Amino acid sequence: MGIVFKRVSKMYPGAKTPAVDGVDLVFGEGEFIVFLGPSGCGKTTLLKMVNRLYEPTEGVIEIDGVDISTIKGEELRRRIGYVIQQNGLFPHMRIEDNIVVVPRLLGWDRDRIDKRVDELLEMVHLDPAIYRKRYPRQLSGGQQQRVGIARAMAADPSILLMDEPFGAIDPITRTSLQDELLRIQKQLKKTILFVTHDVDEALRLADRIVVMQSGRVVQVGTPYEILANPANDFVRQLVGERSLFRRMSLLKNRDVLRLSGAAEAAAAADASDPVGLDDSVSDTFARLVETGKESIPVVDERGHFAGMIGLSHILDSLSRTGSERT
Amino acid sequence: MLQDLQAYFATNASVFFTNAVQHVVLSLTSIVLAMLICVPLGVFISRKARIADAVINAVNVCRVVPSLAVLALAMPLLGVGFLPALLALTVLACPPILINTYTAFKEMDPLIREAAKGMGMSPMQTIVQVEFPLALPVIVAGVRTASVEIIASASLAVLIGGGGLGNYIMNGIAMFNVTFLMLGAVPIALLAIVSEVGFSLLLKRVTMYTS
Repeated sequence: MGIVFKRVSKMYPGAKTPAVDGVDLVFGEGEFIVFLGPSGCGKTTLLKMVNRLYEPTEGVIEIDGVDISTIKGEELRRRIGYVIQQNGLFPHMRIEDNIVVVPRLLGWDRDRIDKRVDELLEMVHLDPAIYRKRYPRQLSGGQQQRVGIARAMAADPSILLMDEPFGAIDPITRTSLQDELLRIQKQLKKTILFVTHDVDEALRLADRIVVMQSGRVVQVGTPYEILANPANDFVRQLVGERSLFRRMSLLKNRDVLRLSGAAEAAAAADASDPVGLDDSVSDTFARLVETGKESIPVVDERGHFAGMIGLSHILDSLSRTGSERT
Repeated sequence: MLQDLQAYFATNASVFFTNAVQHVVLSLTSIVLAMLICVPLGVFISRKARIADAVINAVNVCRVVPSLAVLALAMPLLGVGFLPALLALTVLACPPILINTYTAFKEMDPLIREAAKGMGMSPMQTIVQVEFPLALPVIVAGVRTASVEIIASASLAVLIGGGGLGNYIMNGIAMFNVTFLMLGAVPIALLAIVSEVGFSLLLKRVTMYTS
């Protein structure tokens, strides 16, 4: 089940090399997949073949076991949410009309559509009373993209395709949109395919990252796997910058306790000011450096002592999970 | 002169009315016909780069032909009367409508079109629900230009037996009768102004979303 790519290639007419070259991938239901790579690596082409905006020259794409080339393009696209860079909203339609384009195409009745508008606006934290009747131009870039996400979710599709949706948005708004998206994803369990060239964005959002280069898949793995064990120099360069800190921010205190055996350590006399098991290690690291303490206590959700983490435990865990080569 | 006008209306109000109605019908029908022909044609050629250039160039060449010449050309080809005048005026109304429609669709942001397709709209739904409303301001501007041209040119329709308020102007010139001149010129000017005002209001309405 989920989405399967079988030897998928795409050759644009007149091009010397294929844009996508023999890609094999399997994604499970509810996974958040990020395609990462420089422009021209084929990630957008790959994405747009999933809703048949582009057709593969070779190979098959299956959704839930069904070859999508057997489904009528328009019908398929109404079943798949699609978010593009900003400007994707229809400027002549009010927000409420923009959001329910797909339900209207599907012929929902008026009451159901009306209710859906409120639900969706509330989901993306825009007050329906204020925003329903506005036009896209009257919204900020970040708000427009919230509407874009709401629109893609309108008919409750199980799959969402997102093509650099936050590319043109300022960093602070981008972060809050990413948080929002993660929250919605957790809540609604959508399968999301997300294209970006922003490494930080990929690391933040992905369950698994697909790194692409010249139409081929170079590496598939969790953000931590990609950082810890880059498949080749290309991936290392792509994610290499500040890789140590990135890895720390992806590692949890829980992982450090497990990896370094710090869980066995006895409770120190000073057990005040603890950190949580699922907090990021980078915060613990910062706390160690700031306070000058040798170790920091870790507690679970109920506040029970779980172990002590010191600098050596963090370094140990980092080296166990991959060699730092940059 | 006012008395002359009063005297004319006292006996010939219905003649004036007939002429005015004829003028309006002539202008309106030709504009509507031109829209029915040129809007779909403009949409069509905006998708066919190869024939678009040929069509647009041809239209631009036609555009320099003066309206009097177009009406004169209609006579040997179509004869005299209302219909030849109507067809000649339709030809005159076409260029601004066609060119504006073509340009509006041609310059459409491809991202919008892709969004529409990505939502699952068919090509026809994309045109009707997205592209046409977005092109509308430019199309309306074209119709506005055409309308003023046609209201003015319809004064010449009388030369090939098409009727209209041009009757008064031609007679007024021939007889050097200021009353007749006024009876033609003032209503024509008013029609042009009404059309301008009407279209500027319409334009404001269809571009409401940009404010």
